[in-house]
Amino acid sequence: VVAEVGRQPWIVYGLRRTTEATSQNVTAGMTIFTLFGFMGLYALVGLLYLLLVLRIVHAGPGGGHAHEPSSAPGTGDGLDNAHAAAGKARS
Amino acid sequence: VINTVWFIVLAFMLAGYAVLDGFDLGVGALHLLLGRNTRERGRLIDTIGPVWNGNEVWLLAAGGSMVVAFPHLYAASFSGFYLALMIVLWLLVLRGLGIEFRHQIDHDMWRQAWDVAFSLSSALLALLFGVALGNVLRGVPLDEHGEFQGTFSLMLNWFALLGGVLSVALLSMHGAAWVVVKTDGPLQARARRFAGALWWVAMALLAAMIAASFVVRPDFTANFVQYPWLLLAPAITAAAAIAIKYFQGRQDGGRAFAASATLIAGILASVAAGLYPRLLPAGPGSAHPGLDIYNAASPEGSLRTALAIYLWGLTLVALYQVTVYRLWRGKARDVYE
Repeated sequence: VVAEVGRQPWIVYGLRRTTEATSQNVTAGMTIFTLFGFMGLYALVGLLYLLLVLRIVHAGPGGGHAHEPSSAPGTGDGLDNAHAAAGKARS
Repeated sequence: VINTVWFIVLAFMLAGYAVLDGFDLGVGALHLLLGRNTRERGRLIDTIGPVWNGNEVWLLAAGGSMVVAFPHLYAASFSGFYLALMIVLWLLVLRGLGIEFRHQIDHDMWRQAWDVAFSLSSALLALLFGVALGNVLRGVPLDEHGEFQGTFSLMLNWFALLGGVLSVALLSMHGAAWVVVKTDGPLQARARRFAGALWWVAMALLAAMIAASFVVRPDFTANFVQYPWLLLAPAITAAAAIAIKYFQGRQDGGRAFAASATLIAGILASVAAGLYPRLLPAGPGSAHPGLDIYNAASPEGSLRTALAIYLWGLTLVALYQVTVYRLWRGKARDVYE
């Protein structure tokens, strides 16, 4: 942010102003639309990320459901089996 | 000469993207129909799981080569198609999320939601890429600076939409051919039926698109008349189309997929051969002759330097991709039964 704010009003420092670098055919309304679109998308992805991380933290080490299956992509069977095998080896 | 080389590089990148990401977009478009339940759908995701994001590298590389070699083309098309490209970007994000998130929570509703997101965004991407290519072929109304404003009413014309529907049908057929190679049992049998039926749909649409192209772009044949050896591209395309049906009939999934890849590459090669040296032709009502490989290009020094670097990068990507496909060869196991 400091770098971006600090170099204003230049987009290429000392050579080209930001106002000269904007697209002629892209209106302010279009950029507002995409700005909110990106904000919404990132907020959604951020929330889902937190949800998933909290689930993994809550499950604790060794327990709960697998998130990176080793032998069976898509299900989680693989890591569960691996955990079971590791548990047996330990006991 | 160097401009022509870059034109070929750009066409090659786009054809590579269409062939590679084409099949995983196709698998996505058919996802809900081909996979009857979450278990089968999980297996479908597994067939493309290790390779889909590598395939998308080709799209980024094609965009990159546009910046480097034809910056005016990049400026005009990314500003002109601004909203459409942002939607493509969001769909690409959504599709990736579908693939990566669906197995994070072991709950049917969670999986179904991501299956729907993945399938719809893949189908829409296939449609939008076809619409984009249709619009490039048709030409856009460029102003005196060689720029244009691509409103939706402009872009969603019948010719481009025909291109979009053709793209969905072709890539779905290509995706079904991939699933035939990567699975066995009832899922493979169903994918075979889909690929067989979709061949007829794709061929009908392709014939319609070719006929429409003669109406919309009557000047398109000029290059083929001047350089008859260019006719090799449409000839290979036609041969590949027949070969798909032949290998489908012999239940030779591998060769049918190779023929399907050749068909898609052949179509793009034919379009490129007809378009050369134009990149973004001027449509009706233009105050500009259209962007071509000379007036949209970087200075010659940049083109040479960039080509030297680019070929190294391309080699690395090719090596990496061959490795990944070799590593994950064979069938995606049915881990769900």
